[in-house]
Amino acid sequence: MRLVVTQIELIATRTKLVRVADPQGAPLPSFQPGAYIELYLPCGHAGGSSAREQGAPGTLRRAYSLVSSPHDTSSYAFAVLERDESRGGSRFVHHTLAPGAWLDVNPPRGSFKLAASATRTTLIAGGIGITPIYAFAEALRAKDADYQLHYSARTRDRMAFADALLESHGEHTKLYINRAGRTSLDLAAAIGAPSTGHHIYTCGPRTMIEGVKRVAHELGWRADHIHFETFGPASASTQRTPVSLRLSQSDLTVQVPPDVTLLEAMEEAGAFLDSECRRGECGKCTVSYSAGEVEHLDVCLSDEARQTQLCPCVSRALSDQLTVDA
Amino acid sequence: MRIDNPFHDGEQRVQELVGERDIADLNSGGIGDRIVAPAYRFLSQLRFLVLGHADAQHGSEATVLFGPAGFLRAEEDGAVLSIELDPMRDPQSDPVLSKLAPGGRIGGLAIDLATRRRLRINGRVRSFDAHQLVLEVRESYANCPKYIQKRVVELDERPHAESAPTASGSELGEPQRALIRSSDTLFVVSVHPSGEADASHRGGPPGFVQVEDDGTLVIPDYAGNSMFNTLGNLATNPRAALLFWDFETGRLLHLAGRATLHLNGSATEGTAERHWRFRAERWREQTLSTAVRLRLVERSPFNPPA
Repeated sequence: MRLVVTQIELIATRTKLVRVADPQGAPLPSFQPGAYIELYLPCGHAGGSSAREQGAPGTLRRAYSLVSSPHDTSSYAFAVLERDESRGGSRFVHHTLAPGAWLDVNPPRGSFKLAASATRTTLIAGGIGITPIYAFAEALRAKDADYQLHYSARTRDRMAFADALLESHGEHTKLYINRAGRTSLDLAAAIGAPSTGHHIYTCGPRTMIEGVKRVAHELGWRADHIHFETFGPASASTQRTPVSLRLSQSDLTVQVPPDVTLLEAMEEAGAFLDSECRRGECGKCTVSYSAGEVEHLDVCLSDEARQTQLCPCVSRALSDQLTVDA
Repeated sequence: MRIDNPFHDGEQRVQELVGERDIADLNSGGIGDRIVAPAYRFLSQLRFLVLGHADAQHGSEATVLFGPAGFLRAEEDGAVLSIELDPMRDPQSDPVLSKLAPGGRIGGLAIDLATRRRLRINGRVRSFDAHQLVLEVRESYANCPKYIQKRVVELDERPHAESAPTASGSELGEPQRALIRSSDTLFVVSVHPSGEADASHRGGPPGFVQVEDDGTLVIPDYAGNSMFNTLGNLATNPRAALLFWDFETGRLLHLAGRATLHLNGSATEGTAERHWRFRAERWREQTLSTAVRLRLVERSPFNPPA
């Protein structure tokens, strides 16, 4: 669908809130808290090469969590942090996009959603990962639910929604500012002992999600009570040179340039595999590997599993050659 | 070619009940009306195929067909799957083959446990004789590797008797319950009232399927592709067939019965929040004559803890 930008507002350092609506003012499709929309940003140069990442030539597809109320479908709002490692998406939103501009948008969707059966909820956000977590907090407050929100960021001025949280969720919210470059959030204290019906939702950098999963596991939590979402593409890869990727089952070898993911290269080569999130979260594209070294950038595999398996949607080869069982 | 809105009423109902309709729509892009070219080679490497079928008279049935590498072939640009049958095996002794006729609906699951790759192939019987079963493909798509335990095929050189039912009954006995309780894998065949069948894989830690005292099976539903092909069928037609397989000995347990869905059951410890229950009405056990045996290499890293 084609929507029009109605408002852009700086809400925290390097963070802008963008509002989009139907040009004729028609109601937009409904959504659940935690859902995201995908925008096709006309950036000129596309960072990725797959059809899935690119809409039309010269567009970049980017997903942003909705922070507006599901009860108000007259517009959608989302927050965008300008990132240094941006492939062009957040830079475009911050410096080129203006009210009145038209954007092609895919309707809201997402698998990051609140469990209906939860009797207690702990929310843990890092940085701009606050966006779906803020939507959850609003929904939980509206239901008068039992919830706690832990929000960690580098500095106070970078904390989007901090004022709104303190005002409306004060007794449920704890903010943590980094000290000496490290988060002051004590995950073990925030997570605590597991109990029936208690669910954790976390969104933030990969290291935070890995930390939440590890600490919760150590405290005896069941994996299906921990829900997580990374924000945007995984951290920038260190891969700088092409990798020779051998697909052992297909009996093919392809060259993978640094700006193409292993999954994109495998698909391009005609490998036979499934995929879904493309952010290293769902594990559907997981494949066994051998004869190579891997930089694991997923959040779904255990350290043990990473000895033999990788998520080709985000993880990269560190060696010049790599063989996958596909 | 892709298929527009490939989901039937039961699938859509479950997708909406659990709030995963949007993800199902996203994933439906991978459903094609023929076998994709990258899967031809995959099929040619396989040694077995899981097949399901149902008709109004007999209910659902599930089976496994074996053959040498190359016994499965995609033909006619992927519009057809040809299955070479074992001429030594009497089709009348097979729960699915014995009931097949041209036009009959088949749900197929081509699965390689060694590389955790799987392909769904659903279609209709074009022709069928003692040597070959030819299917016209209606739907085909890849499934993800999650919950598949890695096993490699090993040839068993010992002579085996012609496969024959070794036991059957209605109430599950202790030997059957013990096999189910130790299993880390099952196959399930379900059928929409229109007759379209699905054959699907379920996996988890050994014991992921619980057997209650009265013989009811409790099967957890872990996060999957959100399409709910199986649960969608069960929502409209509870009759299902389950297959448990002792991969080391070749013992196969076929169950036919009825399922009930528990999509938002209370989160009792030890039971996944989403699960389904199955009551066997009849069972049949056989030991495969085939020389194919499978050895466990590694369980899925996605299995929840036992």
